[in-house]
Amino acid sequence: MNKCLKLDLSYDNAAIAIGVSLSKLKRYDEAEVVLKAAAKIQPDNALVKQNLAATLARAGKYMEALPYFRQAASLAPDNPAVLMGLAHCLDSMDAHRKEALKVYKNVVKRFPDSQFAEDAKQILNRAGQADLRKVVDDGYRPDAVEYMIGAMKRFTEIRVSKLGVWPWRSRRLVRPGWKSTIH
Amino acid sequence: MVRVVAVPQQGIDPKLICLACSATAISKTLCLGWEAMYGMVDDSDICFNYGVALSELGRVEESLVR
Repeated sequence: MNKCLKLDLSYDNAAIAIGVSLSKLKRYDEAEVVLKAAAKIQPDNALVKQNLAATLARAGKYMEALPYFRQAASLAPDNPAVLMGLAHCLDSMDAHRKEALKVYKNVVKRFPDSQFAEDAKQILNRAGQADLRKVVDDGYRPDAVEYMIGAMKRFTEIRVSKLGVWPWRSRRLVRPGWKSTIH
Repeated sequence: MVRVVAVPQQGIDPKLICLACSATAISKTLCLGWEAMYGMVDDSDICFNYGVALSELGRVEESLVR
């Protein structure tokens, strides 16, 4: 990468790649500097914004990462990876959890056959389970019921072949040697 | 060890072959191809793709230095 920039200083993707490599090495501060410089040169490049946001999020700077994720999502609205990054970032901040769930649902709806949708479904299911555990004062929670219906629908969609053999066998309820009380 | 890339006079440019392969997956073999060209030609595309290949194969530090 070093030689690439020496040969061609305007090779934009090299700066992104350097930023990503630094981020991989957990050298977040250096990665941030490189990617911010690249973002200044290429303000409309979604990849720069996405990687800058991801670097900031990895460093725990979620508040700072959020506007970059939003910019990346508006520049590349059809990129599920960007949307998932935005959702993860929102999910990491209590004040934005509701919006995070909306983005996850959006990913499931728009990219149903992708791995991103599967990941988003798992996160939504976990969120639903967590909500179920919350104390309910009176009546039922519509969102909890919705979650249960969704889970049941998913279960019925699974083919029998995918379920495989039941991991347990039915056992006799009456212990050997005991006489059944049912006549 | 001397690594070379043979280029037939009317063949396809090895850089184009490596670029096409990079679009699908990064492998050690592909990385060797980039490495060979990196040593022979001063070309920013080759340097960039060699760096990406190294990074993808986990040789991240090396990708920065090269």
